[in-house]
Amino acid sequence: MIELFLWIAAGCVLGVFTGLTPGIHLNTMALFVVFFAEKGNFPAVLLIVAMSVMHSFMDFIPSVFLGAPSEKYENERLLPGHKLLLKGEGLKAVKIYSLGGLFGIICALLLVPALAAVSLKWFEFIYAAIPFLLLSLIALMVFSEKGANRKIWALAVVGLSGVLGFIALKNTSTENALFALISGFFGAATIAYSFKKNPQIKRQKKCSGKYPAGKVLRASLAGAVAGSLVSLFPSISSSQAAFVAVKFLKKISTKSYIVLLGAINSSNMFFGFLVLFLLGKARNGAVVAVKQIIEVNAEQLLLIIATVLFCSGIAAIASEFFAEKFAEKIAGFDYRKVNLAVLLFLAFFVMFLAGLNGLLLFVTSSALGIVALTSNVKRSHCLAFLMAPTIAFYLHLGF
Amino acid sequence: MLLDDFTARKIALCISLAGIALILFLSTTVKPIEVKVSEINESLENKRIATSGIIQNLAKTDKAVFFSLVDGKKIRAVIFSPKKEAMEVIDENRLVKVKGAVAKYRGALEIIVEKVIPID
Repeated sequence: MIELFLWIAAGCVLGVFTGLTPGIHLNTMALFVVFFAEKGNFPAVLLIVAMSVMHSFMDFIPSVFLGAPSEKYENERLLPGHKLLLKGEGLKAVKIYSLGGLFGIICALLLVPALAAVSLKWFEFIYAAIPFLLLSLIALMVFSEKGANRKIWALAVVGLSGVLGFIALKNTSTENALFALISGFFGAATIAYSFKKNPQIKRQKKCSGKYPAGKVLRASLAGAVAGSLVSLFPSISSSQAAFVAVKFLKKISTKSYIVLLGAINSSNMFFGFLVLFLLGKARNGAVVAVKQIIEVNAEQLLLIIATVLFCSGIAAIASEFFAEKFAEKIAGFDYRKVNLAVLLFLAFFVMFLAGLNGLLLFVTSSALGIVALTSNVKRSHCLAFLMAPTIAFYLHLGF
Repeated sequence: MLLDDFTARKIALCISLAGIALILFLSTTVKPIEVKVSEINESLENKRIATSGIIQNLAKTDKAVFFSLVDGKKIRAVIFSPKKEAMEVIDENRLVKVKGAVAKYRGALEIIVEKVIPID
């Protein structure tokens, strides 16, 4: 038993590392674990589970404290975490995200019977519907942009991202193409664009707010339902799931949106393991890693669920602690220099993992991310880089 | 000097178009590595290769074709969403040249086949 706790503790430490370090992805570390773990090594699986839980809580912290543009930036284009950071409420953003994560896990547990029934009974239908659902989602997102000009730019971003993803992922000699593309679209683009503005990050307020339980529960439940969609359908991201959830929730405040995001990410991670057990399908890198080590049985699934619950509590407390450390450090540093260091680190890491081809993908996807940012359209349109090849695969269009 | 959004977008768009063109060019001009089946090892994982061998243990489903490529040693090969031309070429005990990428599936190396060319 103590041995199991040591593996889980090691997973928590690794999850803190992957979550807080920009560019170090959970999947990369999970593959390292697979490389060293023997087939059937269940404690290594618990390490991956603990790491995934910790990562899902921690990776919001750098997304709040890094890459923020100035206050002059149009409010509607700011990421929700950056909105609160620029008001000096970065710590509050992390706290409510963790709250969403915790409640998301609880709601996900309650939704297990429903998800199991739907996925087992409707698997064939879901499988057949995947390309059409993805196409509908792309259309819905493009048409949700306000004005003809934005719709055209959104379509351009979708088209170019789709072409880029199709070429990059089909050409499998480009090692770690996914990593290079994600780092470019969603990491480097934000940071590079923030250089244009000169953000003044306020000293962050200590966080001691109370949150209306009804709003938290509503957003968490919506997040858990959306998280179950992400776990069932390939290439849908949490931001797209949030987009769909918001359509149903109608008007939602920035804080509720952050609760929603936390719930989607934590419940998606949890459902990922459940879907592996139910359908044998792996929808994210950590679950792929688990699949390579064991074939999950019912008893192991219960231990995985117990580990998720145990680590969620620890992760919520730890994320508050690390967010405070981040806030203290950010206040003392030149924000531009911090962003420049992160950008160089990302480029170096992409080069190290994916070589020159990867660097080319990184630069191209960063430029496309900047096109989305400067065109005032949602950056989640860039996810077409993953959706286009998935649609082509399911429609047997030569991928 | 600070760029306005319009200029930044033009520059970013040019870079992304140039990048896509360059990636497309590289992906079509880089030739696969010619190897024997016995020479396929983990160092070739994710690389595009061309190799020859005899088709054995052929199995077809509506979404994929699976077979072993044998030249003394053997390796598993899979074609996802096979085209009609490929289906006409693939037959048990036929000598073929295949082009594709080496990948690992459940701990074993396999070839994700892109093209099959009959040799006999």
